[in-house]
Amino acid sequence: MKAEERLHTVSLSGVDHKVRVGALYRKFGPAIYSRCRRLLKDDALAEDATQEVFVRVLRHIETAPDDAAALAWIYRISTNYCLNQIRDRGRQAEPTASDELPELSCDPEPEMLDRDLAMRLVARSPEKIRAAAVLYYIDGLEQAQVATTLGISRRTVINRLQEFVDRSKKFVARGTSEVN
Amino acid sequence: MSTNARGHLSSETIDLLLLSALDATEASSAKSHLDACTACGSRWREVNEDKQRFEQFVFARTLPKVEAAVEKSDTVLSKLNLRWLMPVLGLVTAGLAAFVIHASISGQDTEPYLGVKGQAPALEVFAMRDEGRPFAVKRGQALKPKDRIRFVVNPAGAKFVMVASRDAKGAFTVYHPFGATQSEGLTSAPELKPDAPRKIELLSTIELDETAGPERLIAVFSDQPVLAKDVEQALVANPEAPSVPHARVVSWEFVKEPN
Repeated sequence: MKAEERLHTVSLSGVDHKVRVGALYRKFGPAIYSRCRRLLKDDALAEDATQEVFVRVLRHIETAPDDAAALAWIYRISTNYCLNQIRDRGRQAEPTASDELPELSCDPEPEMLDRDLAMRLVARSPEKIRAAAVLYYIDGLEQAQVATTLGISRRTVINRLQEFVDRSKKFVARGTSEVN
Repeated sequence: MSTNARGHLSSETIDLLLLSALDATEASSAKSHLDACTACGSRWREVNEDKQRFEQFVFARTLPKVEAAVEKSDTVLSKLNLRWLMPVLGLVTAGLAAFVIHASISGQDTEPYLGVKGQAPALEVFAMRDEGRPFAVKRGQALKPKDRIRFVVNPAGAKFVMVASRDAKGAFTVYHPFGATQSEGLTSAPELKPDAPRKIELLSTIELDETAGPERLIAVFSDQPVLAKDVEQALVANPEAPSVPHARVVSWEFVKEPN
């Protein structure tokens, strides 16, 4: 990591808070926006989500020791925010017919590489395993990185991913629209 | 830079590349992979397009709302990130006892002391169970696997802090900064200046694992970074009253009960 790039720790010390907020938003906003757009698949919702997530993540960014740490907070908070949005939208929507659901093989693990499919499965999962599943299957983070991002042990990450896979298998076996 | 177990760049690597935050070697390696991998190349183009869209349209449209929200947030909340603790602040302030933690301190002396706000380094622990209200954890209190704990410290002028633990099976874990090999500086943000006479909520949230039994917490305050291996050694050498050279230590124990 290049120290001179640590905008939040070096170049903005002592400047007006409003200017600092604007600079941080300009720097990290694209990463948040891209992430929200990817998860929500809707430009307008992603724009709204970007503002909300940035405000929530701002203090963490300001105190993060480097860009990787700042991104970890962005991933954590934007993932939870967007998944909640997806869940809430799902509650308002009509139930999905089972024949509209994707077909999965008996072993869903390889299918997880299909990010769209993974998102649909994640959206149906309990809250506690959703973030781990997104970070691992959709963001491609290693288990140790997921653990660091979420502030949990690697063992817990492994357990949650296993639970996600188990639930996905049940989902396939039952052919229903609800895993939980 | 290396690809993940599935042979692709992670989102983190791609975002760091976009932020120009990878060093030259890592950046070169990542770019080579992008040229060779269709999936990652596509993802790279996508994030660049998103960045362009953000800079051209989204930034200008949303910045005023962001500034307004931040201003409102600054007015309502304290400088510290205590939103998580707001429900318990009333309880905490209701009695000084909730601010006082029985602890042992070493580094300058080994006498037990009461860590009172503003007078000595202090460590407070708050926990959340399931979706319940946060509660202050007292010395020796029983917690359960999957409880989430956070830390509030009074650095009392120290410039660096580390919070770590050793569980009943002897496993050592650095809780803050999580997984780090040394303590973290407290000077990176204006509100965390070490001479500020107030408490600091650390950003790490820890979910407790299944290991039952007593778990000893240690908060290490120092003017220079302290290595995690030295803290672990101190806990192994004298679990009841660990001592770390050139540092002040607050240490106490809670119990983890099985579900």
